[in-house]
Amino acid sequence: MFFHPQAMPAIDFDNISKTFRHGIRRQSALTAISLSIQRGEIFGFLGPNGAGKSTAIKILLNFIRPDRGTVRVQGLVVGKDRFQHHIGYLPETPCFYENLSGLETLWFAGKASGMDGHRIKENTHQVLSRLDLKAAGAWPVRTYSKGMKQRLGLAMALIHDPRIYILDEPMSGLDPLGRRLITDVILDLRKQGKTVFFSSHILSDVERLCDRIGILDKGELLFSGAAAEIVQDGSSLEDAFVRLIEEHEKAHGV
Amino acid sequence: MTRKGTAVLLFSLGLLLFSFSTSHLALKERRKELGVSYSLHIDSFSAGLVKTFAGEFKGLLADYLVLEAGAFIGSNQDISHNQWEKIALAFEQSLGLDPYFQQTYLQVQGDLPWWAKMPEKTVSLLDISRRHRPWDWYPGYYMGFDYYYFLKDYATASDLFLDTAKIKGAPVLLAVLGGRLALKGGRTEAAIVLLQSMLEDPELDEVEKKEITERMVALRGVLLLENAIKEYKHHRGTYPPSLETLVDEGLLEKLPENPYPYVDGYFYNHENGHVSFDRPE
Amino acid sequence: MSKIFLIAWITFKDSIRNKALYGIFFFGLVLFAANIIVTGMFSWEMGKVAVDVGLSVVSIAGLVTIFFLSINLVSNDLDKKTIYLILSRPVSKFQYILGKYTGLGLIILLSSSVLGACAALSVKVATCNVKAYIPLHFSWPTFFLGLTFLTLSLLVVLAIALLWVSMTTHPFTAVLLSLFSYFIGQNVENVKNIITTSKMFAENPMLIRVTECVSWVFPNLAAFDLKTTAAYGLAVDAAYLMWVAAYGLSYIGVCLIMTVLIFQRRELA
Repeated sequence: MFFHPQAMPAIDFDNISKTFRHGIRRQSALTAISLSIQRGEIFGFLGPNGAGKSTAIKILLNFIRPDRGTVRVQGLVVGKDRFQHHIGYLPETPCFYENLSGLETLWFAGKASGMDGHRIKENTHQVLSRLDLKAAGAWPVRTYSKGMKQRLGLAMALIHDPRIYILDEPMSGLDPLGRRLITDVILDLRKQGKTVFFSSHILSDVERLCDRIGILDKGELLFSGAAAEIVQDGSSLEDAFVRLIEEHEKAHGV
Repeated sequence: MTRKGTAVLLFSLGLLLFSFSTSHLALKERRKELGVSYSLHIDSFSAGLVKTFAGEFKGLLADYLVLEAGAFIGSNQDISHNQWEKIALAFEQSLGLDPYFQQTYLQVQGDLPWWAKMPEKTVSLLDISRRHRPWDWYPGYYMGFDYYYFLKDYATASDLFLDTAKIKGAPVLLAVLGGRLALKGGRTEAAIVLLQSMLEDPELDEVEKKEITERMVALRGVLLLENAIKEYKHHRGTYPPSLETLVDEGLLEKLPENPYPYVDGYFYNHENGHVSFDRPE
Repeated sequence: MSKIFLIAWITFKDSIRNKALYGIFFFGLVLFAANIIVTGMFSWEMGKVAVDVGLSVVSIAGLVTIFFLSINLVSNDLDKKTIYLILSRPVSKFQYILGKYTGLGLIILLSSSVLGACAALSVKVATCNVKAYIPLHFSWPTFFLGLTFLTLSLLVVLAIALLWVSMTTHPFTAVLLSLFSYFIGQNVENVKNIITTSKMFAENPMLIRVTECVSWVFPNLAAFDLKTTAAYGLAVDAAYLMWVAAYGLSYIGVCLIMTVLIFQRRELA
């Protein structure tokens, strides 16, 4: 893939810091994170639990405000400009209005993103088939299995055909078939020139899908770049990852 | 669960059910004997404070209080004076929450003056109903009756009857009664004026017109005689020995006629100068 | 604007399919049947008792809906992060709050309409025998006026409840604070009267000032209570009603705006 160096990044974290206050205790969640995701690439966001991945994503989506720094989506400043129409978001364990059906949920998603009824109908058809939810469309969401809910969440991210996808642990809770489906969808998106930014624990998926990765630990960005750069002498990404984390934690006297 | 486990559970269930029914029956008997099966739960809060607990459900609470008081009265128990006080308080609280309710004043009048022997309390409660139900002549009528019968306050009774008689639909009886009591209470002129104005009501039938006219004539007669007696006393220092004396002395041309056919003329008591158009008690 | 109605619509649709709502309706219907029995216990003017019970049931059902259903729904949105799926789309927090309120308000309107109709029916049935059982001036327009203002009162309580939810983390806290606000709202006028007229408190200007403050902060819900007027068909002052309506709507507006402002500052961690 050839990336034009002057092209505006799809997502840009610029020196983001965030501290949480729990009573008198202060917990530093993110420290001076700077990260760029280019257009058309699949970017994998990795890190152990509690590293700050969710926090970074929440700041990206304007759910929480950073103490310092700016996030930009397509050049638009998060928190100041309206950027949501450019993105499709899948949260970690999506929760829906349980009494609505899959179809009604997607209709709502489309309408909320400013689509007209006709286009929603077309896209719903397409998206539900793609994610193997055609049959369940009319049933209320409360009857869905975990895997189905995950797929419906992805459907909501796809329905309005945005340019940028932000997926938080998209494979979590899925069986191998479901994982395969999601992987195919993500690869499809890349073929269409979309940008995909996703966080994951499953390093084998990351290895297979991502053009570049970012590794986060204890709020610090340890590495960002092509996976090949940190994989040394034929070891797997997993080994490289574990080694990097351990070195970092040792350096910090943990 | 194992067979043994289920058997133990079922056996325990049987035992407990037996214990439950036995104790239930025993309690029922015991509590009946104690006489606590029917007691009155009226907290002694002022009417204003009760409103606080009722919030937007004042109407319901008012209904409930009336019901509770009424049920207790109707429960055929001997009610002590303290309990009557509580019942009166319940009615007062109820009126504080809803002063419009008809059932409240009907029950107040039905029980408080007679059985509880609380006519003063009765009239104060009835007054609340009366002021809030200007279309309803019953509260005023009952009040008038209580003032007359229990409190022997003829003046107030007459005022109430005459006032209540003005309400649309009130029976003419009120005016007539009011007139009678006016006499006793020194309100004769006011009564005559009211009766005169009532005669102008086009909806009166012949019988009602006759009743009012007769009462008016009788009162006028009494007034005439009373004024003449007053003049006589002023000049002579004593009451005249008989009504005829007034004619003899030239104070009256002739004695006014008593419209009521069952008597002959007016009754006169020469010791205190009282005149009445029917036999005094 | 249409986004607000969109949120309102899905809130409404989701709530109406909630099984709890059926429970509330069923409860209402049972109480209306009970109305027949309750009115039978009185010997005079039962019509007024029937109206009392009928309108009170509508009120209680509305309050139960607010405290046990509506608060939970919004809390769940925040707890279970359903809200992520809404705010990650081009929907502002302002549109979200207003949409939520409108949707929940529609549920209240629906419950008041349905149960109100049942109340009217039960009043008719309870007094079908003799005309003398109905208060002299009772009129159906006044009855429905009572129903309308009762509903407005519920909408005010809903607005307060939403404000509390935006400020608290646990739904339980929000329920308690809302109940508390409701109770104060119902009684603030009465307590103020007691305090200002009783000689006992004349020596205590601090208390009087505090009570005055409270009466401005909390809504005077007693002003919306027209149950007695409805029961007896008492005279209604149109100007008074207009003022009450203005008061209610303004209060709701203030609550909603405050909720939006607080919500805008709130982090969705």
